[in-house]
Amino acid sequence: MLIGVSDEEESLIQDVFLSKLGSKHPWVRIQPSVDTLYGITGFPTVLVLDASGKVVQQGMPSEATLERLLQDVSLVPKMPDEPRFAPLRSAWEKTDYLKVRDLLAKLAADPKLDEATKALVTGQQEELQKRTDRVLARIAELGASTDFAMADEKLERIVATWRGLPPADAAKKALAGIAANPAAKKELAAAKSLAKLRAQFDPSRIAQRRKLVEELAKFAKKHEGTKAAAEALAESERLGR
Amino acid sequence: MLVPIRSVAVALLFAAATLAQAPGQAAPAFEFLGGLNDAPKSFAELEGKVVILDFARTW
Repeated sequence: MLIGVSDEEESLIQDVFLSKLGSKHPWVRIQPSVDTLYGITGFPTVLVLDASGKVVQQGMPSEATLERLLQDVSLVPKMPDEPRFAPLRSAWEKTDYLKVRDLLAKLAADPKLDEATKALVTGQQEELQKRTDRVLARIAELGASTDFAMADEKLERIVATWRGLPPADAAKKALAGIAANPAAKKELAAAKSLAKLRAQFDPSRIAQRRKLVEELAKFAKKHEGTKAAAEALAESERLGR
Repeated sequence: MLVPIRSVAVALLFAAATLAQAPGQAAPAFEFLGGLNDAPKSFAELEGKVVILDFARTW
């Protein structure tokens, strides 16, 4: 997450960064001593912190750097290293959200629950809700996408991950919508047979590559107008060179 | 993580002159006095996340 840091008045941050410059990310007010703590002598200065809290670089990170750093971010919420939380942690690790929900409900139902655990359970229930909302929004996007093969594959994965929970039903509905769409049906059939065609040949062997180039061109003609055809044509040209 | 000694030396040199916190060091915690745009409430909330801190001033 990107966070602006300034020791100035909230009204000034609001007027300049939010209103005038249209900044959408969070801003935090600090004491001026923080600049010294971090050795900041000029503005703006950008520092990148990794998931372990280390400064990894100065200056805006590239997409590639961000991607690498994000791989170390755990999706498991923080919880004490106690045996009673082990099943819960394991369920989060496996993104078994149905189990997460049930384990949280079980914990919440305990009348002798201490305040700390109650707060932990509520926090995790909120996190699960947040992820549910996010995936529901994603399902709506996928359902409206014209890249049917991609949407179909992603929706299938959502159905598996969220089985037994509302997102799985929403994803199934979106999949049914795709299946009922004639254009999508054509596209999906083409994508499937293209995958099959590719699996038959080993392009690292010259004779097979030549044959594949021919077959891909034929495929492109047969399935003209589909995304798979365009893909096949491009691949045929690339391999034929 | 191992950091080449030379890069640490260079970073420290610059830190004395102009640079911010040397890469490879743990970012020290600081107090959040308040926030805008749904900002986190404390430094602890940044734990486990990839964070880009933009030290900025309006002037």
